[in-house]
Amino acid sequence: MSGGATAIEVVDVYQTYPGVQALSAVDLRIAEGEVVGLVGHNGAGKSTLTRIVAGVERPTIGKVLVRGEEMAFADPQDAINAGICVVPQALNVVPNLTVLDNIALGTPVRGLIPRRGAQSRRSLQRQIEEVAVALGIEDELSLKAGFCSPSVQRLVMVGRALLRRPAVMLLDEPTAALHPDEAERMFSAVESLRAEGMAILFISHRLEEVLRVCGRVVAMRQGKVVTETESSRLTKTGLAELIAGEGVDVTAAGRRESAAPEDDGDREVVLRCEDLRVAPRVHGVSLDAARGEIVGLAGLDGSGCADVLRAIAGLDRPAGGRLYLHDKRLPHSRPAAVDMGVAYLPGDRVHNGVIPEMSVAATVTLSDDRAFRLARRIPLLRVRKEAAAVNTLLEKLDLHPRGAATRKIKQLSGGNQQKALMARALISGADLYLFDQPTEGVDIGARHEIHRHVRSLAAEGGSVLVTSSEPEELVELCDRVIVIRDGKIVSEMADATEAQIVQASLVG
Amino acid sequence: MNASTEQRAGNERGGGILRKLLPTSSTAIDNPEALRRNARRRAFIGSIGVPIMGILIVLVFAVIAENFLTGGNIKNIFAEAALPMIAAIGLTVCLAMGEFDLSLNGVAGVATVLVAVLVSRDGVGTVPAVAIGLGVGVLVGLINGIFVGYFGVTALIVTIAVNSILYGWEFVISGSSQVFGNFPPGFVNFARGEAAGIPNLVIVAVVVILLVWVILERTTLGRQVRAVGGNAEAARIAGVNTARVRVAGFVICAVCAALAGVLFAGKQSSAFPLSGLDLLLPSFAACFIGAAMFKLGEFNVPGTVVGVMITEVVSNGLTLMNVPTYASYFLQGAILLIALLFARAVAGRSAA
Repeated sequence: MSGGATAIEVVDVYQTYPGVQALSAVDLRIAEGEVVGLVGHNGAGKSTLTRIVAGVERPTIGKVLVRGEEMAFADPQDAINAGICVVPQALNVVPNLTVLDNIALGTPVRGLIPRRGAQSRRSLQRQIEEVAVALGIEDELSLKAGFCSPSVQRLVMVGRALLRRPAVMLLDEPTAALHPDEAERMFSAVESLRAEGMAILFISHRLEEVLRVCGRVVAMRQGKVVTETESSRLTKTGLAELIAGEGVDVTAAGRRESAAPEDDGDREVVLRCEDLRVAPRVHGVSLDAARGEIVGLAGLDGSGCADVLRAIAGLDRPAGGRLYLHDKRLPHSRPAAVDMGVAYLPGDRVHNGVIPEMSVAATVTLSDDRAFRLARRIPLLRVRKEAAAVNTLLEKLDLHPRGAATRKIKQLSGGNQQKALMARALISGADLYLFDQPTEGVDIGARHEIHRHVRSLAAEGGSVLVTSSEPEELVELCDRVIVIRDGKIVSEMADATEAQIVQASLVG
Repeated sequence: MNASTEQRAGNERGGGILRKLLPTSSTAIDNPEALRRNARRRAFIGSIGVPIMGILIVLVFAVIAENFLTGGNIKNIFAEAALPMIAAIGLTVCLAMGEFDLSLNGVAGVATVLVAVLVSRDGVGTVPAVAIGLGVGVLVGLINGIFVGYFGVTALIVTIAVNSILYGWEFVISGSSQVFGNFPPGFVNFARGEAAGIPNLVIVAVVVILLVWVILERTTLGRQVRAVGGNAEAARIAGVNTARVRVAGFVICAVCAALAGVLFAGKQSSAFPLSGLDLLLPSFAACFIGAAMFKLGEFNVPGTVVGVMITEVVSNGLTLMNVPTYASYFLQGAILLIALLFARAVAGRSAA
């Protein structure tokens, strides 16, 4: 254990959301001058824990102590005042301001209007210069941030946080979009902050860098801390096993690659995707899907799974590669792809799926309302017939409340909104179904219902591609799972286990 | 993210222009009871607020202006409302799509001047002249729609620019001089006449109202217009050709404005550049008043109809009271501001 005084301590924290135990009995302690790594699969509870430490959420049970003093953060500003700063994962710099001005953003400067805590321009500049030296970006201070490398931009965000003189920093995926060489600058900056006595929580999916940068590693699974160990006593594979939850030989996953079901003679390929490349995250993915087959795409956030689906759906223009549906080229246009028989359920329901003021019936028939027109060529809608048909369909999906077709979609709960979007795919009669995170944020009952319908689509001859952040869902649902890491296929398994999927997506 | 926070986030988004223009305060976000109370209050304001305002206005004028509640004056109000009504109904489609059209005055002005020149100076028949006038509307709508839909330029700026060009065209077409005389009697009589005691222009306006209502509420295009206005990205993902929908929306809006302009030429039987119909502010005011009733927080045809009637009643009442003409500037601005407040009151976060 590190010898420094405790900077921050989380004691026996529980966090409960409706229907979900997000954290249970979590302890975390970071000393001054210590870098602690926080690792875990999607949904393990890392984000919940950081939101609690940053004052965004309050724990159901448990305490947060800063320098031994118990805190009750009402909002993030309280946490900042207590000396806790979060550097978020999303890059947040203004490209046409200089690095110096970018770091100064958000710090009040003394001017014509007096403001509390404002300081003179000169003293602020001196502070920023000090910070820049500590981070190793002093040479870039006068450059426009837009011209600087991603690592410098990320360090700008760290610098901005440092001006608040925090005692604790939370770095959320600080190397997420960085090339390995670029990441080195981040590592040396973290090391120099640590040497000055900062307590740092380093959250990352990249296990090798966690082991390199952090003195101690906390691994989480299903809302619990599964291990807290000196990183010198861990190996990358050992850590991956801890996160995955089962002791499995990594090479076992690799060996299964050859077992893809190609020997089947009457396999009718529906989708063929050759060397697909989509900027910035997909770097050459080749896969196919046959009639009646459910293929899972597994990978961590940002691995490129979702981007592959978007490109096939005709939403994003690929930078390279070819897409074929029944040996015909798929166009880069969503309306044309719909006409060719490609149904797509978007991942981010709130942004990409729901049109809040629309009726449920209109949501279901938005892609294709020809069945409810007065005549095929006359686009006048028979709304009563439509509402009745949609209600019958939604009843099959067990959507609540009954007879919701004429309600606005925003009046439904999240899970029922998802069922309505699912219904849109179900009536499409498509040949290829793309489901991005089909059960995200829905309760267990809705999840079973959605799975049942995905299976029946395949049974009726549809070909399905599914992504999920939960490996067990893919194991349950899919005939075949393809694991994607950093935009490339790293593994393909005919009957994978959860642990194998997690391992492959972490280690590759 | 758990289901309830997601749902809340979903309710905060979308809703097109209203939400963009009128961000709601973040109070009561974690208090479901307060949320419900808020929603109930909004529904209440929405269902009775605007009608009560309308009745109050009528009562006030009935007391103050002596000729107000006479059969002749009421007919006059409807006749005067017809042309602004046609333009405002068109604008409703554009606003429902989440876009602005600030070229209404330009489109109507060019249509007026062009039709006047065609029938008065060039001796073109009424029917072809009117067709050409409406054709200008189609053309301007196409230009607006292509710039916004296909080139992705902000509608606000595109339509201001187009409006300026159209103003210029009014002078070019008319040779900067007044157009009058030689108007075909049939054209003028139609625009000024009535059938079974109902002014012809009112009949035209009713036809436009019904037509646009059917388009917006009962056709695939109307669905797609509302989808683009509510969440354009979700509409695109569902397979809606958002660019084509935008073009269609701008064309409908511009054709309505052109129709108002064409009929105005017949009604006046003269035309002069930049002295055509002033549609812009009254139309926006009517649409925003309309968004505060019937379909709360959404632009809708019946709401716009009521909105136009309210603005027309107010301006008629003030005319009867001999208020100077320049007062209409104050009036138009004030009505638009009040309409925005009403729209804001009901466009807030609705109940989950």
